[in-house]
Amino acid sequence: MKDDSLRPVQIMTLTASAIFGVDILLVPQRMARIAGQDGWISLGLGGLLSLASASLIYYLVSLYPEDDMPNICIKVLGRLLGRIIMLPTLLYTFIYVALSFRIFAQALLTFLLDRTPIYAIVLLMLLVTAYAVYKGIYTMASVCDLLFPLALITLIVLVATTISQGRLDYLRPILFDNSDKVLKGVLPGLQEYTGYSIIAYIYSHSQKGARTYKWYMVGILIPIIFYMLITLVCIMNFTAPGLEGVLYPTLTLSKSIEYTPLFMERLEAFVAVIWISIVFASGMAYYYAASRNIAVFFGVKSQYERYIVFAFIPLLLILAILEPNVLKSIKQITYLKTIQILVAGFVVPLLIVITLIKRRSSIKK
Amino acid sequence: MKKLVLLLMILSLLITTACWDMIDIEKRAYVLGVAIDLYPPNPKGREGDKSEARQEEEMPLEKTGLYNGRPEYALTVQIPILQKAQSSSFSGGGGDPESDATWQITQIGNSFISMNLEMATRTNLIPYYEHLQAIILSEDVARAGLKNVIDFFVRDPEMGRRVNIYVSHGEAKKVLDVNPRTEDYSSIYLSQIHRNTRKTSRMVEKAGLNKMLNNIDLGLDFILPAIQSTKDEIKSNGAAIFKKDKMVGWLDELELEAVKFILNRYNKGLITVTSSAMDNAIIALDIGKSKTKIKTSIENDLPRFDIDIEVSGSYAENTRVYTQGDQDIDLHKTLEKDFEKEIVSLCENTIKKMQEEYGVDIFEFKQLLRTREPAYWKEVKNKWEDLYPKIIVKVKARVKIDLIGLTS
Repeated sequence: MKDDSLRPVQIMTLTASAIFGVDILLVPQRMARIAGQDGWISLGLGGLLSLASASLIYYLVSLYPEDDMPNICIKVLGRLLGRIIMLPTLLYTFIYVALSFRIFAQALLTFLLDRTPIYAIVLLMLLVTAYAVYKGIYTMASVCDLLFPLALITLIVLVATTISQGRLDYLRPILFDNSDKVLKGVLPGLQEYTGYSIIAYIYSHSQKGARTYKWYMVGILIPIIFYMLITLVCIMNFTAPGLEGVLYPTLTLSKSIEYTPLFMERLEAFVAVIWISIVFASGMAYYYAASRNIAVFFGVKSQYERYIVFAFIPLLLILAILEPNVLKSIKQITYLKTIQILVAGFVVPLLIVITLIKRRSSIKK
Repeated sequence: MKKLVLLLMILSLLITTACWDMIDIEKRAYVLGVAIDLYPPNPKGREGDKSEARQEEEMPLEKTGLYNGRPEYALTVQIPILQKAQSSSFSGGGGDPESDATWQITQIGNSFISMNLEMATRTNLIPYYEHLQAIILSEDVARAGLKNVIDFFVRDPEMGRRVNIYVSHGEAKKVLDVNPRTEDYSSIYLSQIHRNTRKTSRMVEKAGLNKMLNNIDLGLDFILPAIQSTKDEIKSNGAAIFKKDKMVGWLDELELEAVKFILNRYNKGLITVTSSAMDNAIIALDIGKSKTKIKTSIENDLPRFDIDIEVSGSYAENTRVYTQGDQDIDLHKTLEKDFEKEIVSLCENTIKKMQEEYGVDIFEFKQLLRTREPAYWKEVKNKWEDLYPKIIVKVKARVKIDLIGLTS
């Protein structure tokens, strides 16, 4: 049965899936590096900012209920200017897919598949993701509906089993002589949630209404809560200075659950498996956004649009295996997210203002 | 079209048959325990105590860049011989290499990864560390510092952070050679001893790699379980005291009890007093519950810690008479006072010893100051070493005797 439009709950799962992703492995370490044991506060503040920024994007797309982001750019700014302003987003979504699969593959190589060549892992991920995107937004939403609860349950179990073995005093002193660093961490905190802009691509397929907005906000709140929780638990288990030295804290956390060996000794296996699906779901969302951007940018006709999904697999593969150094890849993905922050911070308000001015003048006429 | 799809499906079966990284389970050498000694094992004044390592187990390391003239460490890993595991559990072992259920391989060298790879050239199996149970360090290794040793065990992705760490009196390798009666593998036997902390507080509870790393990362002093081995048993024997990452001394079992009182990690255990009220009889209190609260304050620019230990337990044994028969509640009151004095003096003596003899803060006073008095800590953190022997610690204990067994 084919749905006519995305249900509000599906907006939630799609948004949350897009925000989670390979970053779930990296968030605690990044935040501890910036703000020490108060990193979780920065994440929370960044989360509040992301809710505000997300509302702005939502307002913009609700002005154009039938169009998604690339179309809106063209409509508002015209063919040339629209394309220019689209370009950063296009590059961002495109490169993000490659980079996140690269970091994913690097972690997988370290933990599970030490002899599998990196191109094989990335290619498989790309093929599966491309196929889901080729099938269309409704298939993607259904896949997220299936995977998201599993991801959520695993994360809950991970937090629940490790929070009791951590020590609360590693979080203290809270906000002592550290508030400047916490404030410095707000923007990087906001960066962790950049997937929220997926609404700009899926809103036109959704059932419009207040409930959609509500579930969209829930979809952002869930990652905010879990990122904060996981960062908290990581600090409680590894201490803030110790956490700075842990490359993939979430996986290491799952490997340090201290249980009697009779029961669930290998919980990390579940985490590893579910985490693959988390990366897949997020990659899928970005892949979709990238393919939409490219289709509009090059003016591909709508009947051929779904095939271009496969066209840029080789390019993505090359991008993904270009940089073999783990630390450099992690740095690159952090830089990359800055682009999205700029787009959400400047382009979106600009588009809203222009739209409102245009509409007002047309009413006067 | 249908035939084409069928053909594609069959073809895909051909290319999706195996995993790149597959290693058969019987091809893996599941390393259960690791023992790290200094090489040569007995450097100063103890040369007579010869290592029993066979010649072929000490094959020299290839001269790589890591080799700086002489090997520093001897790494011994314990690998189960799976074929023999079943039969030997009934034969009782006895040190005969033919009937052992495990194989201890020793390799000397400077870096642990290179020793590990060197070992791989000597076995037909592939060393695999996912199921590592115990890391045993010899006293000399611990005194030389942990930072030289732990990186391999933290960095290698096969290692988990829940592996237990021990410091052995004497050679670490000997602990792996133990042939326990109730268990096939000494490493597993060793890693299960700490479960008895639910019965006694005279040994350290599970001391995982993660906890140790946390202490090193925060710059805290800490303790690790100390062990001693004979031919067929291993004893958890007090603790080794670490200042930063270097071992500085031993803690005996009674002192360990005091440390656990102060750290609020006391589970169950026994306290004995000689009671003057009862004709110098030795009375034992079986502690069922213990709770410690520490209050931190600053007094005359010195940190002050008020330790309040609340203990309840049962009157377990009286060595003087078979039965008292007087049901004297006042007597119990005096006994409670005696126990309180005993606990306080035990704790105070231990604290004093740590302050004056070793200058180590295994009671985590530093962490208390850092988290509860951050402003004060910021002032003194650079002179903490000088400050520590001067800090004021007041111990108070409250003991309640709840049950008295079956005689009154």
